[in-house]
Amino acid sequence: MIAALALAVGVVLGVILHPTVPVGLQPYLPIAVVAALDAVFGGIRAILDGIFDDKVFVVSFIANVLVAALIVFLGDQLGVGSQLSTGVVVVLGIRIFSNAAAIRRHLFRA
Amino acid sequence: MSILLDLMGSAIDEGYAEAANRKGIHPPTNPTAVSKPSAAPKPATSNRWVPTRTTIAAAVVLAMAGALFATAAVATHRGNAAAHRDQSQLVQQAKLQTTATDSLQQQLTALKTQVDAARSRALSVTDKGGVLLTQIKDLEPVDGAVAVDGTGVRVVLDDAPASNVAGNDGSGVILDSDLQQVVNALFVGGAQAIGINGQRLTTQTAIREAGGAILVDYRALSPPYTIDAIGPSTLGATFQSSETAQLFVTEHQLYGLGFTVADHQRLTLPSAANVVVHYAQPLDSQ
Repeated sequence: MIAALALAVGVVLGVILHPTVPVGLQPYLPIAVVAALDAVFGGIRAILDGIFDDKVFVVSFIANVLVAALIVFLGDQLGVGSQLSTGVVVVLGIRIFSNAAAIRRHLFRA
Repeated sequence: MSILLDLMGSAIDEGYAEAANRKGIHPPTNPTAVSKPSAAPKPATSNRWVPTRTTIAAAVVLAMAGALFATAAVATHRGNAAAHRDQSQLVQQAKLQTTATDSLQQQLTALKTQVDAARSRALSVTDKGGVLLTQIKDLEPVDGAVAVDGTGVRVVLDDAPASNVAGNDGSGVILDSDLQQVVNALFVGGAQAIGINGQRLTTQTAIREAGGAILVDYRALSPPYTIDAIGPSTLGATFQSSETAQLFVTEHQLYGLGFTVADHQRLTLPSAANVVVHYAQPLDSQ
């Protein structure tokens, strides 16, 4: 409940304030979004599994976003930025999918 | 392989399982297995909900996530809008410049007519000038300096329709070399004056391609390309029997490339946009 509320408040804040993203950070925004989605889906699944832990969620969220952005940044420096971001998206995408599948099984038992 | 297996097997962060173990909750052994209804125990919290520091941190992080999603969406939307605006501005500029060029072209044609009239007056005074004038009148139609009309052939080339297979991979698109081939075949067939989409060809006109657009005399043209050629009445037949025309007929049948040839009793070609004299100089200036 409080989680959904917090998410909604965040979205509203983002839309109302629409903070400007520094140009240097803009390439990493989509990757950060995918990483954040992964952490959120993982958290929802953990809640349904009954093993949710606030601290793990906080740490995994921040770490995921930072590491994903860092990997892409590193790739940019090495000249393989687009390939690495594809890799990150694929890996996180698979995780999001299997978490979504687990959530679906929990909710619909199917 | 093990990295891929890890990826498929443990989609959920292992930290959750470890934290649950520490707290004495036993998570489902196989995280992907369908959990039994009883396998979702309530988190180990008291009945009265007391927000702990970590709960508040989780809420803040979730709010950050929401803000991140919204920011990314807004930024993407803005980027698209900006790109669209830039593009439409460029298109507008290009249209404006084309209109300006057209009006300048009209001025040029008017001035050229004045110059021609003045020249004719000046030359017709003497016999020698009269001879020169006849020579000029003979050469001008070939050079493209004056508008001409007469019997001729109209060849229309067009890209294959986009629904066609050839239209998708770019092989059904008319290229500058196609226009060059057709123009050359028409000249071989005896054409005396040729214009493409109203652009008169001279001995110095380039047909080339830049950025996917075909430029004739540095003017960008868009399909369909109408090539008007004035020449002897046999021009159409000669052109149709040429190798180039045969090739286009085949491509028309195979790929749906637009290709039509029609004889016309009276075609009119405008004068060339810029006839530049490189070597000749007025006598007075020496």
